[in-house]
Amino acid sequence: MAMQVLRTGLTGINSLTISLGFLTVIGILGLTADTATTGYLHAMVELMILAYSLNLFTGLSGYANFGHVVFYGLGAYTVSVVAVSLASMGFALPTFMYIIFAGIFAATFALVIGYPVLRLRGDYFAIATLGINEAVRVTICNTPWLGEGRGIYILGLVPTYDIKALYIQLLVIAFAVVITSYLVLKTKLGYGLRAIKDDEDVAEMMGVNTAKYKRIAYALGAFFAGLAGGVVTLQFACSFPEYFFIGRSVDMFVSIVLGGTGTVLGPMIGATLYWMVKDHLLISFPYFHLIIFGTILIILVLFFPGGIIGLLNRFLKKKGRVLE
Amino acid sequence: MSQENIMTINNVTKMFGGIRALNKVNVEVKKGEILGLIGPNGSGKTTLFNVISGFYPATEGTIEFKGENITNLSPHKIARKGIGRTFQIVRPFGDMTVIDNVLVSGLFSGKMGVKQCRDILKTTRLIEREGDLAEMLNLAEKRRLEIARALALSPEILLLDETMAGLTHTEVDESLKMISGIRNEFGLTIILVEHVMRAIMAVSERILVLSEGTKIAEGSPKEVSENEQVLTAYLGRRV
Amino acid sequence: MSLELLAQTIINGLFIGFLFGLAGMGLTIIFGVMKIINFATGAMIMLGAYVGYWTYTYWPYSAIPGIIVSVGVGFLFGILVYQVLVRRLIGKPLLTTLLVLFGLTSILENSMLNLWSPNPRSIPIDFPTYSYGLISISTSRVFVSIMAIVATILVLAVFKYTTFGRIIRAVIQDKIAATLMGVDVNRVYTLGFSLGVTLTFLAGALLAMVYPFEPFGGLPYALMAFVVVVLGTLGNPVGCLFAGLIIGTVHSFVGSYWTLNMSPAVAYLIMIITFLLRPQGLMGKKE
Repeated sequence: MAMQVLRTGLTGINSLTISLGFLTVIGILGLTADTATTGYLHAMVELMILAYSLNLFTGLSGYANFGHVVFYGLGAYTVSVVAVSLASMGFALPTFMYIIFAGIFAATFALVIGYPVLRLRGDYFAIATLGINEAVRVTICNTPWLGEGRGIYILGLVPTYDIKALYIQLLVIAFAVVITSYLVLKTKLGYGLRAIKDDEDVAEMMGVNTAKYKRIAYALGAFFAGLAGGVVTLQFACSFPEYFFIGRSVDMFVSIVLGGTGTVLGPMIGATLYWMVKDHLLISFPYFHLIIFGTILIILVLFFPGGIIGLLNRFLKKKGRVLE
Repeated sequence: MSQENIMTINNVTKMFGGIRALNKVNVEVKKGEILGLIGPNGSGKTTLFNVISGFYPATEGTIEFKGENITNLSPHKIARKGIGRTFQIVRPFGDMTVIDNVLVSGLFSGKMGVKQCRDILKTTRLIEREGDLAEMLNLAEKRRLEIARALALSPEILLLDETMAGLTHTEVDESLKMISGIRNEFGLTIILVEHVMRAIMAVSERILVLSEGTKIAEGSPKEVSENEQVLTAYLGRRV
Repeated sequence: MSLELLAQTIINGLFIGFLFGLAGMGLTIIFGVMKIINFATGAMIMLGAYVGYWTYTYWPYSAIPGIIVSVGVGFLFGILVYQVLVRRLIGKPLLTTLLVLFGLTSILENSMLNLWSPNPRSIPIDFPTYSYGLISISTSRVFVSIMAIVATILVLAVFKYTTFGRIIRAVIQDKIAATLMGVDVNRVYTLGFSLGVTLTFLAGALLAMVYPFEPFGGLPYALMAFVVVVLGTLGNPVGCLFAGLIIGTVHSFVGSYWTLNMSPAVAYLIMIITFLLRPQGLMGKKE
């Protein structure tokens, strides 16, 4: 019942098919290309996953989770801590197991922290999430068994793998997060979250258990961000405090706003475009790229709040169809 | 009509800081009736609705719904038990389509799917606009949408908060017809706050008058309109 | 624990507390007037510091010109940012506001990086330090505290005694009523926002005399200012000053008895607990 997929309104162009098709193309490209290209696409898919994970909660519920990067960082540290502990007992697991641990830990952390934090609204919520991320980062930087500022290295503690093998695992996560986003948007959970975004008090009085649904979405987003964090630790064989860098949250936000918040296709378009533009700008204007991003973000948010999907829909709507 | 009580409000008091917004209010709501709630601005009508729907916790007193104590339950639980409401200042989910607005309460009460929600849109004459964003509707349509949304909870009691304010003469007449129609079609009990006196006198079977948070009169429209205390409260002097 | 260390800790805490309070006051005035949290506070604090520093490199005899220039530039900058950006944010969804100010932060930080390089800077004014037994008091900190107190008193006086201040208070209390009374809300918003930014710049310029700073160094200060605002209740300037002193003292205690690095974590912990126990802030009235 809860998983019943609902269809109302205009005939949606099947965004799920487009997203999965696009992801398949990127996947094949990455697996057949040279290592440098794979690395480039790997980073792009990682940003996609992060954008989707942010979209699951923030895009749908409207809660500004600037500290979302904390789940990515915690996922990264989970892998290294688990790897180090297991290695000290003399054994290791298949790599995907570490990644799953990372997701589970991040989601658990979200469930616990969500209890108090999700009672806050608006500005207070945004401030608290920034604070939590900073508190976790600073705590790690001052805890000897977490490597303080140096990070935790896991080289030789986990089974070896090549970048293509890791890329496949990343793709699996990407497929999962796209499908999850579609299901969330089209089922009861998505309806509840969209109602919360529009007017949380009214949503509650219309029967939506707002506390519960916010918590589910928050933990779901954290789970996928944690998975992405798990992959990054395996990629660099180390977890650093830099993984908690707030700029990473900015990347995610720009991606979903550029593509279209709260949609299935938006984060994918947004992350892809943003990644290509960012890379280009970094090379062409190494000293001005943040000025350019900042300006792009402001213009987008003020003048094109629906992002690319919103723009496309202005034209498609006249033909009685919409992108989701 | 049966005289069985569907809801009993016992001695409900609501304090905001030092201000007594509701003062020991007692109401017995009979199953199937249309109960009008009137009173000057700030007399506590909307506050009473907010306490019934659980949005504000009651400072004192209890509310029983079908023999069960629902005082201070979370709003979503009260809604699911069968108490739907509308808002004085319309609050539709503006970024969602008309059908999706209704579907939210249908889904979360667990009682209605897409098809039943469409039926409700037909009753409330909104079916032609089902695919439009709610914010694009005009005021009369938004008010009907709020009623539709509350109906999708498949409620037993409907709390209507000034659903006729700001409507034209013709729209008020249509609205009145719809309210009686809804009551008969869905077998509802309706509590209605209204400033349009003509409307409330026409549609209510019983009227309750609040003034400064206290119940000052209760009775048939005729009794109430002849009550001296009520006239004083409204006109500020003895007539 | 030694009594001297305790005394020293409290004194240092109060010094930094005035700065936190000042930055918090900048935030809280803007919030009070237009219900917007200035998420670009961190970058603005740093910008204030750089303006003070820049003035100092041209006239390295006294700290006063740097403060005056920083205050002046802050005021004009506030008007500019309001007219170009913030004006468009009134009544927009929260996410819009937050993202625009996030964008502004990126622009400011990158600009500072280009103008002044990523190397930490400081204003090398030679202030004497006096010692009483084991307690040492640097005159730079005393100077900074006095400036912060003077600024606070000035702001409160403006609020209480000038027409502008009365109008601002009216807008804070009831915007619609104020509009009906003929208040030009747009002008009040412009001035209110600039006043907030001015205080933020001032906090930066004063900070520059005590601590080194760098283009991306604003975030920890901004977070401290957020904590202060939360403790002191959004929209309450006096509450902010007290909250600043509390947080400054906590900061200093964590530094003396544990490690200064952990001070932000402790501050955020206090913030989160405050959120939970008293969502209306420590100084706020209960509903």
